This record gives sequence, C-alpha cells and structure tokens, in this order.
Amino acid sequence: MVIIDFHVHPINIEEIHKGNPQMTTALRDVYNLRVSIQPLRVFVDQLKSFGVSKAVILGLDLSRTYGVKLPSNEELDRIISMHPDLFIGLIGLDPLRGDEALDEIEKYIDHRRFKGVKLNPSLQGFRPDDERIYPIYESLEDMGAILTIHTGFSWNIRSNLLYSYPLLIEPIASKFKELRIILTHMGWPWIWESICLALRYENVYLDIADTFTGTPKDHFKKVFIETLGIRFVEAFLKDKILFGSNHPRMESGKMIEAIQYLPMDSEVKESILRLNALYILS
Amino acid sequence: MKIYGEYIKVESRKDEDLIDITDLVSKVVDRSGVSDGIVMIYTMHTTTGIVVNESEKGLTKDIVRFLSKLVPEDGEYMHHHFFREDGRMAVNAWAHLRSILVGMHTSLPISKGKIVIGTRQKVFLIDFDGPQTRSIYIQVIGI
Repeated sequence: MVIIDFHVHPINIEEIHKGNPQMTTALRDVYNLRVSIQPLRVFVDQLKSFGVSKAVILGLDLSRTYGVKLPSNEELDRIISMHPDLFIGLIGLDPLRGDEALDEIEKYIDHRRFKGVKLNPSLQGFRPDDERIYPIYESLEDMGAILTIHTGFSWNIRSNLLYSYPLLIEPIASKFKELRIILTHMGWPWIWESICLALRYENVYLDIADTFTGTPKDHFKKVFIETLGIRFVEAFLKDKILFGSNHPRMESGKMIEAIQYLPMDSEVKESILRLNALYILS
Repeated sequence: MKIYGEYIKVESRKDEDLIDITDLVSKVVDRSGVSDGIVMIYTMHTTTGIVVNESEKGLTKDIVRFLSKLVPEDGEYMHHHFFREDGRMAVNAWAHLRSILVGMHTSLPISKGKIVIGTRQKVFLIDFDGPQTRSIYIQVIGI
C-alpha cells in the first residue's frame, strides 16, 4: 500500500547539520532529542523501506523563542529539491512577525512543493486564538493552503502546554471555514477535545503522530481500542484521521506496523494511511 | 608490537539487515601494516551484532527469523517507556536483546597480512533496528 506520512521533522539529516552547529544543540534544547544524524540518502531509504511514498516535512521557526529554525524554509526547500517526488513541505514561520510571516507564505507556498504552514504555539510562544495572528490564517485560507498546528503534549518543560490545548483552535476553525486545519497528535491527552473539533468542523483533521503511552502498538491500543473504541473510529473518524510518525521521535515503520496491527476495517486503515492525506493534499 | 584502529561506517537498508563487512575488515588490516596478529571487530551500537557465518540468502533470512522467534517484538518489555535522556519513547527492547544473543564483537587471526577466514565464512554486521548508518571500530594488534 502507498503510504503518506504527514508528520516528519527532517532534523536529523546530515545535509542540514553540515555547517549548522546550532542544529545539534537545538535538538537537545528544544526537543530533548538525542538521535543519530543520518545522511539524507539513508533517510530516503528508510522511508521507502517502510512503504512511505510521500512524506510531509515540517519547518519550524523558533527564532524568537530559541534563536533557531528547525529547520529553516531554505533548508526544507533544499531537501525537497533533492527528492521532489517524495517530499512535500509545510513551511515554518513566526505568526507574530506580521508582514514578514505573510511574505514567507507568499514566497514559498506554491501548491506544488510547499502546501502550507506548520505552527507550534507551545514552543513558539503564542496563543493560537490571538487575533493578531488572524491575517496569517486568512492568508492561508485565501491561498487554499494547509495549517498543521501542534496540539497536545510536549516533553519540553519550557513550552507552554496551555497554548497546545485543542479547544483554543475552535475560533479559528469556526471563522476560517475553508482553511484545512490538522491538529497534531490527536491532541493527546486531550483526545476527546480534538475529536469534538474534528466532528464539529468539516475543515478540521487529526494526525496520530507519535506515541505517548508505550510502543506504537501499546499507544494505538490505548487510544483506538480502550479509549475511543474501534467501532466509533470506523463510524465517525474514518475521514478525519491522518497517518503521521513524528520522525525522528518515532520511526514511520514502527507506527505503520502498529496501525496495520489494529483490529480495524482495512478500508479505514487505508483512509488513515493514504486516502485522507491524498484528499487534503489535493 | 603495533596497534592500529579505525572506525568504519556501514548503512543498513532494512529494519533487520545482515551486511557483509568482510572486505572492509580486510582493507583495514591492509592499511594497518600488521603481518601477524589479531583483528577485533566491534560494533558501537547496542541494537546491532557482529557474527561470522555463511553468506547464503536463505541462511541470512533464517538467522533473522530465528532471532525474531527467540525475542519477539510483541513481548512485554520494561524498557518500553519514555527515555528522557533520548527525548523519545524506547520501543526496541527486542533489538537490544537480540544484540546480546549474537554478541557485539568478534576477533579473527591475521597471518601474512591477511585475515584467516574459512572459504564460507564472512563477517556480518546485523542491524536489528535499521535502516540506519552504523559505526564499527576495527582494531588490529600484531607485528
């Protein structure tokens, strides 16, 4: 099956770290991550070996809060250029930087290589419902772009968890009805709040990136079987859930295997692993 | 007595992969200038192993399958919790345990500047949690 991974951070790629010593330090400071740095070629082989045919790679502009971009849009662009059939980008920007942020949207989002924006209110230090940011949302909506926004847990104790509370996204989902919004991590542990928004608003989707309660199999069992119930997921969320890994915090392959392992209708699995992402990307 | 050491890097291509590193070991021995002695091959990773065995497609699959049966992925492992030091969930206890079973190093004699190895013997790195770039340290000791 062709699989689309909607949540990939290209932050352990050797080509990005070369000549950019800030990156390695930032991986520890921001994400508390200690992972091996791999050549892009190995990363591409990894994705292919897992059956991933498209990977949505995310930028993140933390220049105001941490003095670093993880990675910058230029670096994203460079990686996409090397494998344009495999990678699609969501740019990073600081939404509190007004015109400068709008310029980044104009400059990069071409609906071909770059399809939208990734924001992380907790790490970037802003409330997502801050009306100063509305011009950004409006611009994305006008362009038909995607907004992937971090919701839920963060291991970084310097980040503000309140800003990643899913219900803070409701005013945006409600006001910008044509803006496709993806709430990451299903908002874990505030899963039901995220589902409220996904059920209530046609333009809200959920990604299932990362695992918080054990292995990917443990986590999906807890979320899909014990918390939500498979029947509810099949009946209500079939068109709302996107597969994501949160690489390099968790490898795509292990997450895919965990989805395949669930006692869930195979058509629903296909929607999660591929079809819903294709719909949003189109 | 001469002691010579070198790191080499190899790339695994699958989640579980056997990579024949015999030629790489021989080249390090050549570069060491050691004529008679011993070479130690040591993997730097706790989810990999070093073995000497035959390079036959069926057998390499058997090795992977056998170890998977001995240490299944679906076991209940205490290692599987958030690892603050790494900033991520530890989810690969089975890879560590398989590594322990096969061992993380091997040694070969060197005679007349060449490794002493049987016609069917090859040195393998086994990656139990690939694909990744892996580092191996090769140390040559002798005269």
